[in-house]
Amino acid sequence: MSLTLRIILFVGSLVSFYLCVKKIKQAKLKVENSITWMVGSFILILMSIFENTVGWIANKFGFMSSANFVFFIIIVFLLIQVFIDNIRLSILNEKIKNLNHYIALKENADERKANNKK
Amino acid sequence: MISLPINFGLTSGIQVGMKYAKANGYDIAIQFDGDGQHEAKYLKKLVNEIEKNNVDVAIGSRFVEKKKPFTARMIGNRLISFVIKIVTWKKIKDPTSGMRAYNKKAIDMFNSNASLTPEPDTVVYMIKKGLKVKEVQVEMKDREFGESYLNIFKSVKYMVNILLSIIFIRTFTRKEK
Repeated sequence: MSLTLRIILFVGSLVSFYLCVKKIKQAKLKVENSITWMVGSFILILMSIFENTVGWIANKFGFMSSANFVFFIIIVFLLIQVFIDNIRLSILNEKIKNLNHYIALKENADERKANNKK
Repeated sequence: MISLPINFGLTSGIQVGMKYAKANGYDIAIQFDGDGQHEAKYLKKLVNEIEKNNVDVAIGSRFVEKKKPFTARMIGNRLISFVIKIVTWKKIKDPTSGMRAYNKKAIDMFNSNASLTPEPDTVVYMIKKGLKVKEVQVEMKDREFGESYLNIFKSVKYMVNILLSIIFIRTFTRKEK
């Protein structure tokens, strides 16, 4: 890994870490949702510091260079994150749909009650 | 008439109807296009099947007695029919028909499984679950007003969705013991 890449990783991770904490303070991000980002950026910081270990692991797994290994880890991390978000989105969608149904059925029942009284 | 505050699509509309049917203890629920394609006079036939012949789901089909024409529009219809035949060993001649009647068992199914839609893959699910599905000959007209939600791109997407759902999801539906 080149020194430039290590510096970019280190700075990028610090910035994302800082953004997470800031958003949590502003109550724009839930703590449980931020954990993956925190852990992710922490791992990147570790990777930029302990370059030799990363190189050793990359070599064992058969990566051409340790930079490739770092990118691989980032891609896996992002895929997992997107998948989790997809599931959350589907759950939210389902909840809104059910609320929508509930409101419609309730309004219909109220209307019929009102009509019966007349 | 139940009006939904947010437009959530066709599936959501059918599902709210099924919830209403269950909440009010209806014996039969009917899925019916309101754009003039379907004629209400055939509904009696569908309901008859359920009441007299112990059928669980009756489908208003254009091709029980008549032959399916070889037109571009029917390619998808044939393909879905073919896949259903492979998966369920049952011949459904008009799987895309939107005119269906469901009995209590099917209504309960709609209420307990949110992935059920008013599309052909639900028919496969119900056959797999052991429900009796039967087609009844009806006539359909061209739509009088409104527009189909299918254009060329959406048709392809629809086909892919339905086929994937039938092949990869509904195939593995098991009958409850």
